[in-house]
Formats: sequence, structure tokens, C-alpha cells
Amino acid sequence: MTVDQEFSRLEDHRLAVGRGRFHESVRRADLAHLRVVRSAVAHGRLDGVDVAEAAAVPGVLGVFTAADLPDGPPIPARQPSPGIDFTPYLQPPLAREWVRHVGEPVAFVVAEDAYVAEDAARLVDVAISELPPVLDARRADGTTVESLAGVPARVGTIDTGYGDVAGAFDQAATVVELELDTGRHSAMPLENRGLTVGFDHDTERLVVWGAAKVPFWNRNVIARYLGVPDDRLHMRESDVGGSFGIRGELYAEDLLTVWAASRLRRTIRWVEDREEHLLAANHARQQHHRVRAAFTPEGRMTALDDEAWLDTGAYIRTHGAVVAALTAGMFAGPYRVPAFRSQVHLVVTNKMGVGTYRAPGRFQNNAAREHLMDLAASRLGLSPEEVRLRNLPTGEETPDARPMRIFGAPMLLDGGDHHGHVTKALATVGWDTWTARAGRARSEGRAVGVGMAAILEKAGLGHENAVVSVDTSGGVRVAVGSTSVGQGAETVLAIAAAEVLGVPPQAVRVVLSDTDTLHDGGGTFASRTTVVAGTAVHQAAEQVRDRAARTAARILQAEPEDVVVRDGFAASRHAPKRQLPLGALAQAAAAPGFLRPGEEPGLIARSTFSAPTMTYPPGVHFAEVEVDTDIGEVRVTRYAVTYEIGRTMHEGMARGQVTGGVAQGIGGALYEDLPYDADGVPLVRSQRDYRVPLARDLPDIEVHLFEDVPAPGNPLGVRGVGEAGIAGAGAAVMNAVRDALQLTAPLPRLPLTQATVLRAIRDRDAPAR
Amino acid sequence: MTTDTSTAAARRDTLARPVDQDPADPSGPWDETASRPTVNGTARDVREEPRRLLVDALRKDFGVTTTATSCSDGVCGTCTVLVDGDPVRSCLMLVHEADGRTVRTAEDVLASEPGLSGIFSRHHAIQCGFCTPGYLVLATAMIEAGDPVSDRTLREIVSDNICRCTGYGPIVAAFREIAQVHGLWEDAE
Repeated sequence: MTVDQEFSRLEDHRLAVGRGRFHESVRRADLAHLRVVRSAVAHGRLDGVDVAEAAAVPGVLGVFTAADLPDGPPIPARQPSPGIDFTPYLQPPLAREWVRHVGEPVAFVVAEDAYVAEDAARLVDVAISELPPVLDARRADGTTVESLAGVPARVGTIDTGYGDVAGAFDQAATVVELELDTGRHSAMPLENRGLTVGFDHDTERLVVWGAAKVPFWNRNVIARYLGVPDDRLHMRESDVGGSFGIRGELYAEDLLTVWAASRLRRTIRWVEDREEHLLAANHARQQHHRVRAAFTPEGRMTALDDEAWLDTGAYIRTHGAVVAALTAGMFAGPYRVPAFRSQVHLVVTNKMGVGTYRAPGRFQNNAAREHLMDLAASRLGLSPEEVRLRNLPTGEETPDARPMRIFGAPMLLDGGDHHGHVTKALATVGWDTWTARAGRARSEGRAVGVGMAAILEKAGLGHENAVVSVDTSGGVRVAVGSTSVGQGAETVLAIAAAEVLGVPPQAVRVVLSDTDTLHDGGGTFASRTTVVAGTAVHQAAEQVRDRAARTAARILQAEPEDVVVRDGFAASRHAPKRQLPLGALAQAAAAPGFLRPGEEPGLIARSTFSAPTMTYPPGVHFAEVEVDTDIGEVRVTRYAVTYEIGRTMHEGMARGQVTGGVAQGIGGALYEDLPYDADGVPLVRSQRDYRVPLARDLPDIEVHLFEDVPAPGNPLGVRGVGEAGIAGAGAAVMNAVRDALQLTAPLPRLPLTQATVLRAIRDRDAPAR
Repeated sequence: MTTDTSTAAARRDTLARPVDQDPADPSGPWDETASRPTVNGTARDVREEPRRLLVDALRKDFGVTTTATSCSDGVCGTCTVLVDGDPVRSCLMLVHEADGRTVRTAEDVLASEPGLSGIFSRHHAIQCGFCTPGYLVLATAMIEAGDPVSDRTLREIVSDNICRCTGYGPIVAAFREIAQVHGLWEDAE
């Protein structure tokens, strides 16, 4: 049965009417507020923390330092990386001996009132003997770090590839190379980080509102830290104001807030302000790439070689080496690359730690590789689209397993005909008209340019658990380990169950990531919810439907395969008028006579889906820009994305994922950066200084979702869409600006701030040396 | 290695907000002051420190849940409310400044303009929903101002607030439909 896909999202029934379940809406009579005292110094020895004055402020319930906390482990890395020991680089929840970045938690205050907590936090006296900060990953590479027990600044290297790279460069007709810096961004979700943690005096359990992304893993880590069983914590499903990868990763503040609730036996709320968010929520992106490619005279790439430094900040965050692994592993993008090497060095500095932000690694590697492709086109005398087409695998060449692994899994290009996708994309957006329009504008003296980026995306990773059940009233419930991070997970998972059970999605209640409902769950990241959780739900719903059909068949004295389940009823196709409601079947299915040995009573099924490998869909980004050459300002005037989605579960939501991603990507391409001064003090301390795109900064974004190649690895055929819109945005905008300015040289960095653009114009116009 | 605790202390101060009163001294000049704003149709006496922001008082004293803080700097518009009919950043206004004035939040505008929710939902103008109350208030301000709007002016209105999820196109489309429903749409441009 097909489901009307354009119904409103289930989430909207509360979010559109002001009833969002954000943690700050939780009311508790015993609510107290937590405020973190942070290091104002980038790097130094922590000589002492004097809390006496703060503790004396009326209304303060307690002021705590590392000395008060359990001598527990540091914040762990969730994903190990073979060959790299993260242990020396992990962050303690509160600084003990050293501070390693501005904003690092040093102490915290709990008070009856949030304002009082902030006042008192100001009175905590932190004595620090300063050390020189380390602010450049490349320069730090090769040094050791006194404040991390003398370990090397280089945490490790992700080194991947295959083939004879050196030989290919020796024989190359043309070699192109460039260096590219990508700025330090963050996702800037509108809701600041925060948690509300209640203490249940009856059960001594801790109830956590506001958890996101990976609540099960976070619950377990927090429980370990407190030294209590996992079950002592109950992570409740919540609405959150955006994640984009950065919310829900376990932060020091999460541990502190839960610990405080446990210690004070009260409800504790921690809400950071935006300045704290800028200082201490995961940063992302900052890399330096040195890349070269070898070509034959016909423009066929024979080798691609990249070396990059990832400024991973003060500590290794929960992601471990995920950003580096995706940067290196997917550097080749969609192309046919006979010899390939990509190395990413993770180097610690004295800035905020870096984590995953929507399309981690790909925003950067697409920019470096696709800018290189444009540079190659110039050198080879080919058009940008032609040099790409000559190097894209066709349908005959795919599926193709690259002789390398990502996260230990094989890299199987399952996205079908990449050459065909780009050919279709060029025709769909009318690329000829874009280039013609830009050419005309330039002939009128305007700096208009167009750029494209061919990308390889990835989606679906790991496992997810689902329980689908029908209760005796006929109500359908889906419980999944995924969380809502504002992307509409509830709706898409309701569709996955509804289309199997023949009910409207609105009739399905979805319970997301309630740790009391499920034993275990994966979480929401890596464009995986539809692929992995959707499949788990689909499979469980199929079992429930089959069980309903089998139960009905016995009652109706029909064959199970003749029973149709639809609209909340089951009936034999030979006697459609005799309809059994699902609720009655749920009752019957619990009766002893209907149960097979060992079967769980009722209409209930559990399913786990483990993605054997990620799915790798193709996409293309197209941008048109106009540059104001007097002030270096870039305006994106037209934007289009094509993407192989496999199968669309909900058109409006899928498009929304792409357009929202493009907007964030344009922000990353043009404005967003988190620079530090020479003392390691962040220069961006307010949203005023972190410019994100506004409605007036963006054109209407064209989205073309292709459903040509259903994903072979899951029964829904879906490929995930969360990161498609941002992954190629830096690349396409950069290529468009280079075209607009008719540069022969590459651009050196993202974001393309006015200063960077003006410098590029000046270099272009400088007399040849 | 340098030893310079005084610099560290000075830097720490730059992290903190300026406070005019010694917070350890509750008897200082920051006694609670009384004010009587009318919030969503109900006038109520509140006693708060004069520094209490309107956004915080709305939640603390008036049970409002839709109005939320994000940037605290008047940039993002998440906390937008109507004060005597004008859209105002409630993170930039003190509660006592609302004394005797009428404040309306998304709770109220949804009661007076119940059609807005469906329009936002239909256009997929909601993803995480955190910016939605601010945009609902902004849309109400547009309706009540009654000025004709075009695509360009709509983009300017929507640019008052920040959304990090949608890329704005769906929100502009929702505003366009709202303008059309209320006879404010002029498409001649």
C-alpha cells in the first residue's frame, strides 16, 4: 500500500502549535540551575580554584571543582580507530591539572536561580599559570604536549589508499596541485546545549530530558561515571532545536549536570548561553589540504594524492577519528582513480575540540578535490563538466568495490552510473544555460560565475533496533533507538510502519529513544535514520503484519497468504466483508491457542537492522555567484542540487533536508569561521560575529531527487539524504567564484570572506613576476 | 613556561557579564521591583529584579513555553514577541520595561490566528521547530501591520529571524500564503 506522502509531519502536531517538548519546558518544583565556570586562558597549569566567595552567595546550593567529582574516567571516544590510542588525549569533565582551551569547564555552580548561578560563577577565582598556546596544527605536528603528559601533538594519522601513486605521478602528462584551508565552523543549532535532569526520590532514578543523537551510549557512559547501573538513568524522548551532528555528543556538561542531580537530589537544569556555545560546543571542519592529481593528455586521472592536517582542538572528542576517516576514505569522491592515497593527520591544539558537523570530511574533501578538478580543467583545456565526465565510472563499472576500507567495512560504490547521474544532472538543471548566462554577464563587465561539484555521499551506518506492536485497541506503536534531532524522524518511521501495516501514518505512535522502552539503540547520525532505523521498523512491521494475517487466517479459516491487512482490519480476499479489527487480532494473538512455542504473546515484533556497509549515492551541486569586486562580497544567485536518493519516503521532508543543508553549506563557504587570536582567545563570542545565512542571502534552491538506483543494501531501497545538501556546497561556491573572477590560480581557503576574495582579485591583477 | 596569574584573572573577567551590584549583597540597589505587564490577555503583578529579562520572566512568571532564548543578543529572533503590537526581541527587553504594556507570545497569536500552524506545516516550514514560535509572531506582526508585501519584502521580513534547518525557502512560501490569505500579497514586481 502506498501512503500519501505529503501529509503534515507528525511532529508538527505539537511543534506548529507551540507544544514542542524541549527540555526547558519541563516544570519541576525542585528545579535548580547549573552554571559552568570556564577557563579564560587557552593553555596553562591550573594552580587553584577558590570557590569560597561564590559558595557564600545566597541562593547558591553548591560550587564544585574537579576535587569534588568522582575520580572517574575522562570523556571516552565512541568509535575506536585501529592503531590510534586516544586515551592520553581525552578530556576530564572538569579541568584538574591543566586547562587546554578557552571555555574548558573548570568548576560549576548550582543555584536556585539561573541569574544567581551566573553571578556566583563570576566569583569563582581560577588561578592559572599560562603556557604558550598552540594554534596551528601543521606547526604543532612533530612537537610534544606538556599538558598531555608529554605525548606527541599528532594523535595519529588515517592513511588510506591503493595502487602505485608514485609511479603514476612519474609518468603523468599533467600534474595539478593546490593547497586549501577550510575554516573552523560549527553547526549553530538554534537551541543552545542543555539538559534537565530530574531526581526521582521514590526510585532514586535520574530522569534526563534533552538528550539527543546517541542517548543509549551517553546513558551508559554517564552511568559508568556515576558508578551506577545503566538503568538508574532514564533518558526521555525530547524535541531538540537542531543537532546537525554536534548536539547529543557527550559533553563534559552532561556529566556534570547528571552528577549534580544525583548529588543534590534535585532537578538540575543546565542551559548554556550562546557565548558558551561558541566556546565549548563542538567545532568542526578546520583542515589544511595539500593535494595533487596526475592526468593523461586526454584528461584521465591516473592518481590522486592528498595530505591533510586536521586541527582537532584541545582534546579528542567522542568521535575519535571519524572526521579524519571520512576525509581520507572519501577523498576520491565518485571518480575512477587508479592510484589513490589520502593521509589525514590529527593534531591537537589549544582550541575547542572538533567533532562531526553534517557531512564531516566531505565538506572539506569535496572542496579540495573539486577545486582541483576545475584547476585541471583549466590546465587541460577542458570544460569543468568534461573533465569530470571523463573520470566518472559508468554503469558498466559499478557496483565497484574500491580496494580499501572505511570504518573497517568495504567501500562498495553501489550508487549506480555516476557518469549517467552527472549527465542527467547537467541536462536537468540546464547547465548550458547557466554557463551562457554567466558568460553574457561577464561580457557586460559583471563578475558572474558558475561552478559545479560532483560528489559521492554516504549514508547508513551501524545498527538500530525497533519494536513494532499493535495493542488491543488497535493502536500501532513503533519504538526505535533513533532520536529526533528536528529532522522529522518520527514521521518517516511512522511511514515505514504504516505502509506495511496498511494504516495511515497519523495512526502510528512513534516512541523515539526512550531508554526505558528499549534495551539498546544506535542513535541519529550519518544520514542513517531512514536507512537503518527505517529498515528495522519495516522489518518489524512485516513480522507484525504476517502475525496478524496468520492469526486472522485461523479465525477466518482462510489461508494466511489470502489475508489482506489494511486500514486497521484483516480480511480474506475471498470474503472481504468479514473484517477483523487489528485490536481483536492483538487479543487473539496473545491467547495460548494462537501462540507458537516461545513466541511473544500479542501482535509484537522486534527487529534489528545492521547496515553491512554504507550506501554511496552520487550527487551534483551547481552554484551561480556574483562578486562585488569593489568590496569582495559574494552573492549566491542560483543554486541547484541533484541527488540519487534511492527512494523518497516523504518528498517535502527530503527536500527540506537538502535545502537546509545547502543554506548551511553556503554559510560555510562564505561567512562562517571561528578564528582565534594569537593568545588562543576566540574572536567570535556572539552570534553577531558568527554570520549565518539569512533569507535575503539565499536564492531559491532547486532540488532534484533522482530515484534511479534504489539502494541494494536495504529493503526500502533508501539512501539517506541528511548531508547531501551541505557536502558539495563549499566546492560549488568556490568553483563559481573562481569562474566569476576568471582566476587561473586556485582559491586558497574557505570561507570566501571579503578579505579572501579581495586578495584573490589583487593577486590576479598583480603584474606577472 | 610563564607564570602570570594576574593576566589569567583579567581574562577570566572578560568572560563574565558586567554586574553593577555585588551579587553577594542581596540588599543592594537591585531590590525587586514591581511591574504589571499584560501577557497573553492576563495582567499580573510580578516582582523581579530589574535586570530580569522579559524572555526569562515570560517563562518564569507567566508560564510561557514557546518563547525561548537562543543568541541572547537580539540577532536570531527566536525570542520575538509582540509588545503593544510591535515585534520585539524579548532577550533585549527587561521585564519592568513591559510594565503596563501588552505582550503577546506565540501561545496568543496561535489562538487568534489558528490558521498559521497549518500553513507552516503544509509548506514544511518547520523542521526542529525551535524558530517556529518566533516566526509565528513575526507573521502575525505582518498581518496586523497590514502593509502590502512582495517576494522581496517577504524575504526581508523572514530575514529578521534565523532558521538553521530549512534554508528559508519553505518559510518564505508560508509567509507568502499567509500574505495571500490576508490580502496583503502584491505580486507585481
